[in-house]
Amino acid sequence: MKAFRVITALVMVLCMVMGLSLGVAAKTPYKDYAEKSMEKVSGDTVAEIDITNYISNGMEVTTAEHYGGRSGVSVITGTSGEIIWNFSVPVAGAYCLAIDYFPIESKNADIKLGIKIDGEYPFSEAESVTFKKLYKNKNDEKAYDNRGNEILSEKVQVSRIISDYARSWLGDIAEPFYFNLSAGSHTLTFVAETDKLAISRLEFSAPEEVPEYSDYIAELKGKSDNAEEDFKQYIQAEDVVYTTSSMMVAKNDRASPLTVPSDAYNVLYNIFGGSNWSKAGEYATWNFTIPEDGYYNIGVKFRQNSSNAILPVRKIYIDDKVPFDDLNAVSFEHDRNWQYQKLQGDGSDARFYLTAGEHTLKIESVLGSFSESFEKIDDIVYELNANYRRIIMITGASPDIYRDYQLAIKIPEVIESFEKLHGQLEDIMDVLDSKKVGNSEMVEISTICDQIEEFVEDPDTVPERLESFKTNIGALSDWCVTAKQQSVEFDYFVVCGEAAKADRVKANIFEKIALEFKSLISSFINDYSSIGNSYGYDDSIVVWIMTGRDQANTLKALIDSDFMVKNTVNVDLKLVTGTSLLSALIAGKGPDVALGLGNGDPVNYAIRNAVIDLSKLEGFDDIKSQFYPSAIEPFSFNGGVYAIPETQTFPVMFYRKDVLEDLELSVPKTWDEVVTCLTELTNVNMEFGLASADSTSTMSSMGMFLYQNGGSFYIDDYKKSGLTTEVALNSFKQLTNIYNSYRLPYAFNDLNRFRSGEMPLVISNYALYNTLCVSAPEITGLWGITLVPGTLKEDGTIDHSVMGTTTGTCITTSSKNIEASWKFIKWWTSAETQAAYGLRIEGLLGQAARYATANVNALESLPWSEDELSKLSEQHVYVKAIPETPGSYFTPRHLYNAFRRVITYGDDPRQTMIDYTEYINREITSKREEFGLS
Amino acid sequence: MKKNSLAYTWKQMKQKKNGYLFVAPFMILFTLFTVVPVLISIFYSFTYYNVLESPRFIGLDNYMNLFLHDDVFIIAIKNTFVFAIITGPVSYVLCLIFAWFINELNRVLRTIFTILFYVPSISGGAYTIFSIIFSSDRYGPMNGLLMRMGIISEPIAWFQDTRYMLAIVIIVSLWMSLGTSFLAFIAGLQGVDRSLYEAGAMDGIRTRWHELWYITLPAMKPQLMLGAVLTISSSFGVSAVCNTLCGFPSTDYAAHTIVAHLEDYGTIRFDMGYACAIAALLFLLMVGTNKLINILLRRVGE
Repeated sequence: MKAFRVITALVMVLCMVMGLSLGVAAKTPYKDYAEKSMEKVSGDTVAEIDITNYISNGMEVTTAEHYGGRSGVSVITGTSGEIIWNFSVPVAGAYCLAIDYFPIESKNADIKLGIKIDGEYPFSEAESVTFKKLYKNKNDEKAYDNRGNEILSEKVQVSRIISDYARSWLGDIAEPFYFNLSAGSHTLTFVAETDKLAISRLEFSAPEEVPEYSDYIAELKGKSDNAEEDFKQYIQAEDVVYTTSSMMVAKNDRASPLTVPSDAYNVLYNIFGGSNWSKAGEYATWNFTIPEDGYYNIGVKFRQNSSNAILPVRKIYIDDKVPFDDLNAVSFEHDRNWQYQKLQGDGSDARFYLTAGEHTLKIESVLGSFSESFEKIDDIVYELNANYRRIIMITGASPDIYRDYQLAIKIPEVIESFEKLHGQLEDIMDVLDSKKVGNSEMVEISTICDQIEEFVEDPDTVPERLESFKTNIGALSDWCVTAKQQSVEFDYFVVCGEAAKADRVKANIFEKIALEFKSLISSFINDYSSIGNSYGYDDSIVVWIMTGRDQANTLKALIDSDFMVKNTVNVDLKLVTGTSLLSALIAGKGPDVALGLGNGDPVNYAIRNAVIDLSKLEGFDDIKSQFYPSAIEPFSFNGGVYAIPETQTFPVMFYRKDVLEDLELSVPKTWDEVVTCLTELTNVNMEFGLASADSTSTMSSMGMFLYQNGGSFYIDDYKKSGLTTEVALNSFKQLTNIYNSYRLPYAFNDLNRFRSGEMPLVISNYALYNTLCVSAPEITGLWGITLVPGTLKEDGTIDHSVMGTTTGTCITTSSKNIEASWKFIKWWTSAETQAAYGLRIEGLLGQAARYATANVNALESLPWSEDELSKLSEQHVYVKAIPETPGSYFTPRHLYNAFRRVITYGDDPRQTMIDYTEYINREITSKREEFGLS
Repeated sequence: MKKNSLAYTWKQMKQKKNGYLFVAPFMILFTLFTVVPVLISIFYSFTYYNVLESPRFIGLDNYMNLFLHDDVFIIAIKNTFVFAIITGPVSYVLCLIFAWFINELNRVLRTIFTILFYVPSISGGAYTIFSIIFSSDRYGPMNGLLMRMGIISEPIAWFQDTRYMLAIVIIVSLWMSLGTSFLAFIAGLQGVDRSLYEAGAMDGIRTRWHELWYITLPAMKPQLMLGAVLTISSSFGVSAVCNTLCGFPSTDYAAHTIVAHLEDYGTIRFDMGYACAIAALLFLLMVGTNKLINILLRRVGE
């Protein structure tokens, strides 16, 4: 028996190795796989899998009985390795993988697993399949602050078994995945990524078929109908129970007086939906109770003001089942105002048979009939960008229009590809046209379609129109991202008897005027800058935040639920604009604590005695140890530390795997390698991205070279600029040289150029990572981040130093309660609070808003993948600070002046730098005199 | 004698108290928000004041530094004068010419054109569109156009290159210069008494130029004065356009104006005393120029 297991394991390992190599080589996208799909099996064909009979391949698997309230045994997967099941298939065909799972709470938004059939990934999407977690409000009861504004409840992960099919959650594929299985025995393998998953049922089956409306009605014949004719049961959309994302939260609407509930004075979360609920597959559920068995209508009050061509489509389930096929795709018409419609069946108000008791309503966002077109457009955009790169390899990005590049002879494959893409685009337009999408709504497609048609007819016009071609690609890709957004808002749903009258949803002019007037009055009464509970000045500390309202609300919720519970200190949080802090300090009306001060502010305030030295306070060393010294340094001056870091951002290098592979280049690790790489890139008219577009970015670029070469911006205990040292002069020469000798662009849009691939290597702030994830879906998986190129040291190590930017929080000298303020700062900058805040803000605003915490431990708790986190952490170690000292604002200013002088007029970098450093030194000396520093 | 005149004034004021009552709201606000701040800033110009700590009296040090040690101030003065001398008169003349032309049109067209010309000056930050047009990127519209026409082969950093900055800022300012003075001129042209033209025709006026010089312009002297004051103060007070387009401070101070210099000291270096000294000088400069304009305008129609 044991021998058998060992042999099986060996076979599996072999399979896996082969599968891996095959999987990598094949990389069939799902849509190609689906085209060759076998016939879908009918509803009752099932290939069951005995989950307890698994084979582990390097995975720590545990089992549990009655897990999550489910009888029987559940299997809990580990965080690495593989788990394998054998199963047999009765009939050949295409099956969906049904799974009952219990998501185990973790920091990541979703659980991801790789799925292999017979030891290989059947299609590329199977390498990482998402299993959604469900979210619900933390508190069932609505909460209000002491001024009557509703407090948005925090979303928490639901501990509950979820039944679903393995599917793509990227919003590009409408149905669950169909796996082609021949009759006979097979193996199913789950490859762990990061999180654990408890599985209580697995089977290959087909989703149940949805009957037509007439069949649905026919089947109900003879059922008793006791429904009251004018019965009405409202389900408020904001009372949502489960959502598939923590970002799907109730919203506040004041646009109409007829929104239920409505309040002109206070903030009420009274609607649900909008842009946070637009991806296909995302759903939300509501509960409602029916008193009597019978037939009911269901009405929806909604507002759809996002798109008047590509209408958002929703799939509607009652009790987890789509009752009839009209509800597979309910679309919502465009109007600026609120609308009301009853769900339809065969063109008339649909009759739903509901039994007395509890029911659930589930609404899922689906792609509807355009999904395939969108999928294709993503591929076309990728292909067009590849063609663009192939063209600029010949012509350069700014071609000479009077030259004949003979593109038709040199790159015939591009012209052929254009011909093919033109055909595909025309097909897509036909499809959209047949769905009554107006021409004006798809002008982005027709423009580029016409353009490439003309390219095919006359390739000589390509160089002349290259720039507009590039713009058109960008427009097409943006159009696709926007068109995929399927956003609609709901005010309420109403389950009603068949004779019940619909409510009026359009307000008349008097009601509107009344609402606006009340709002106007309330603007004189309400203090909108205060967030949440407000306590007055006497027994509380005042904290100023200078970010957005969502951030302020999130922080306030944390303060109320955590800080004020643990400490007996009241906190008044106020949302103010960035410039008001200085004025307030002058007027002596400053807060106790100010959040989000820029890199140079604390020292500037400190030398004028406006903020207090925190390093003397109790427990400072513990706080300090949570940050890299580079985060503390900008706030240090003359032995004191005047702020505690909140965020710290720094550059990393982004690289395009596919482009570098095409060019047979590897990712450069040192500047010497970059120079080699630059030659190659220049040959094919591509670029390396290092921005020096203004004084800030030039400072950052210069800092990279300076620190890597072992220099520093100030010498002699900050009394002099270090820019005239030999190291600094060489670094400056190195910096200006790469622009002058290799014609690197110093100002560019990194997102666009990285996306098109003409700039396959970009050094940019790591926040670009999140932007790329959200707004460049067509290159998903084709790029990565790594350390910036370094400088080889004598001892053989490579120094990857970069310059980081920090924001911090400080206590003002006008504070009456320093002890409480210090408690607050300690709490706020601690790893737990920073992580909790980061997770919540990302849950609310999405990945693009990922928090760049300076706290080293908190950074690790944010949902970065292992690989990205390791790169970030590696780079983080090398981060150096922008030191601040009186007069330090002259350093970036004159560094940039010197830089421009060398770039524009070709002056000698050495002499120029020496000349300008003179100004810097003069300013530092005069400022030091001013503040009596020797 | 002096006491008498004071008493007389007081008596007069009492007699016309209704009039004073009517101007009181404006006078109070004007004093509070214009006169007092000007006086305070003149006071601060004799002190060292770092914004956050209380001021310290240092006599004329600020002014001495300003004239004797501050190279950048000289650049700022130069830029401001170049800017004011070009944009001031040009925009003034443009306003006048456009107003004159538009005045000839019928009512509907006049309204449309007035709005069209007036819009750039009230659209606030609309001039930032020029930072896109003159983007230093190869894909910026102006660079793209020039490269396509084969005039340049490498992109020009319009707002970072010291050779182009001021010129572009001047062009942008002219684009948005048809502001309040333009409206005042149109109003002035509308207000000229028609019978004067008839009388003029009788008295031997032959051309439209004669008409303009001897009748129209003298009749709208108050508006001309208002326009001149507005144009002068706006061209001396320019900084927002420069700062937005060329960065603050601009490369090598090539688009640094007096107000930009003031902001540099006030908001970046926290040297409010010095900034106030600059402001006081700028104030004197504007008052002086306005006097000069006054003298020039008196000659209109002579």
